[in-house]
Amino acid sequence: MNPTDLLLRPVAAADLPALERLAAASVDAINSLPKDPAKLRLRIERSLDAFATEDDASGEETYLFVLEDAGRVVGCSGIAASAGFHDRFYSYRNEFVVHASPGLGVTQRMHTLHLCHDLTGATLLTSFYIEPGYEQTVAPQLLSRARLLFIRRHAERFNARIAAENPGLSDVGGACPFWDAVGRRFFAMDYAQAEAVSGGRSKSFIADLMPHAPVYVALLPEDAQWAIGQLHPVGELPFSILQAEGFEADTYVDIFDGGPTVVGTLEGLHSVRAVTALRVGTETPQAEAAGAGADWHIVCAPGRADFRASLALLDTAAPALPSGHELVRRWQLTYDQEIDISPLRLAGDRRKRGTAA
Amino acid sequence: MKIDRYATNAALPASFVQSLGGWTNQLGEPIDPELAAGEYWLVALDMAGSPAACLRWRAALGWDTPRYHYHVGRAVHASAELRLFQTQATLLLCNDLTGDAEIADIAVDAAVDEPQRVLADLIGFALRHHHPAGRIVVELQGIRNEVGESPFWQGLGRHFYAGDDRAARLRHGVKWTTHLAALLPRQLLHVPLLGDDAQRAIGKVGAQSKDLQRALAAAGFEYRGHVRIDDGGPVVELGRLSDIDGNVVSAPL
Repeated sequence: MNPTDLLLRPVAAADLPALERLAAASVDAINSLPKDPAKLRLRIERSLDAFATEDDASGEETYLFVLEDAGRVVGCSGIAASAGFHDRFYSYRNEFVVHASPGLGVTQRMHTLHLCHDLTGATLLTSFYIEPGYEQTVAPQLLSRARLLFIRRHAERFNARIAAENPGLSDVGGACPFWDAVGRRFFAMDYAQAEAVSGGRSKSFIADLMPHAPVYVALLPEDAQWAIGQLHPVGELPFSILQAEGFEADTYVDIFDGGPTVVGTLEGLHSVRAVTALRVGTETPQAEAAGAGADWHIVCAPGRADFRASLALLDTAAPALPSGHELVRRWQLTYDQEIDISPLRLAGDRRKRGTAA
Repeated sequence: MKIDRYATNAALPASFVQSLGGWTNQLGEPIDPELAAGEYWLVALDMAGSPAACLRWRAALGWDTPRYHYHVGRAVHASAELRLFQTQATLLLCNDLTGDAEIADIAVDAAVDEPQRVLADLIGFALRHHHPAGRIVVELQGIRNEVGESPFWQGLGRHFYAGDDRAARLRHGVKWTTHLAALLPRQLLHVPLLGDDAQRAIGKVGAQSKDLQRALAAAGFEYRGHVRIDDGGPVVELGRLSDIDGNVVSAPL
């Protein structure tokens, strides 16, 4: 794979067969990509609408991106502008309560889960999926992080608080220890059944029925306690990218499967903090050959419906993007046109410079 | 059978104090003869004049030290769309019984032939001589297994207090549950989140209280959804909640 062959763009109607292929390969009930073609088509249509919406963005928009490698779709990722848009967005918040009895001379720190709506209205990162063959490459970085640069460029459409749900522990049969200990007690049905019954509607439909008193973790069976904040293995890659980005995973967990919900503030995320704008300049001698000063960057053409993101070797010491750079040719950029760039290697990341491939 | 009444510590006969040393009350605890304000002893004497059974009448519980119980309630989870209608038991820490009269430290000598009849006589005497405005309550022991462990405690209390509940009870006496309550959740607890054994133990009477339970039932006492917070044993109640609005009840100073 050549990193410069990767291109992230908004989903198009013609991508339906490719998305069906990705959905079929993804793990059941864990990836938020529906397998039903009709539902997939709806997702695409909603995304087309979202990207096309001019200035009256309502918060209801869901955006879907696809990642191409040399023209072939190999992954997708999405954004929901506002969590729980029409309704409330439920999470469990980890809280520690200190119980004290002076009479017994005991103070005890108790872990509790509080049903909350803290993340209602936050922007959600969704629908991350990449073909397994690309997991060990830089492609997932582009697929996940380019969304943040899109949000930054169109900040008026999004919340400054960004969150992402991550799948919790469950086995191949769909048994989920957290659900079995908590949700099942109130619904007397399987996790999968509950999801099916809610019919893809907002989870608040079910969450409204959950008890509002805090759950004392010590009272749960051990396997359920262990599952709190634990990731399903399929979630490790997208989770690790978000963690390196500066998302925080200790506060919220999913009310159904106990998986960690990460949160961050847009301006505090490393990719966003490191963004600089670069304009297309004139030809310079170092243009084509990536020299010692060149480093891999995520580059974005900051439009909305014509948003594009890719990877490129750029010399950040240069005041402008040389007009002879292959990116200019590939994206047909013109003189003085602005692009956003953010270093692929984040602050604190130990990967070596220039080893993107 | 003769029944004596002792209202002051000074009046307690040595024979009674001595008997108490070998008795345990209906909760399985040793008995301290000391009387507090508003309390007195009723002691049943056998034909030979020896103490055979006793009870402590307490005019108002929880005035000096707050007393806690669990109120066993119900929560409904219903959704017409999901065709779901589920009722669940709940536990809420409460001081509901504060100010009620209490019959405590009920004990019968192990040598007594018909303990249930003796208890009935003793309780009947107490009820004939006292007509409190509000309720009269009695705590009964919860169930325990062969080795003395309470399934209710195993399912709930031990997660909040790591020590031995029985040892702590003996050490702290009537204040034990007050101290324990400080460590328990203040919010509603959904019973299905406790283990099955703990759920089944709620409101169930242990061996130590069986005879007493029958005698109390015959006198009209009934379980109305209050249980002990350590072993889940029931509180049985007689009479109505005082007409006085619960909000304005205050301790006599």
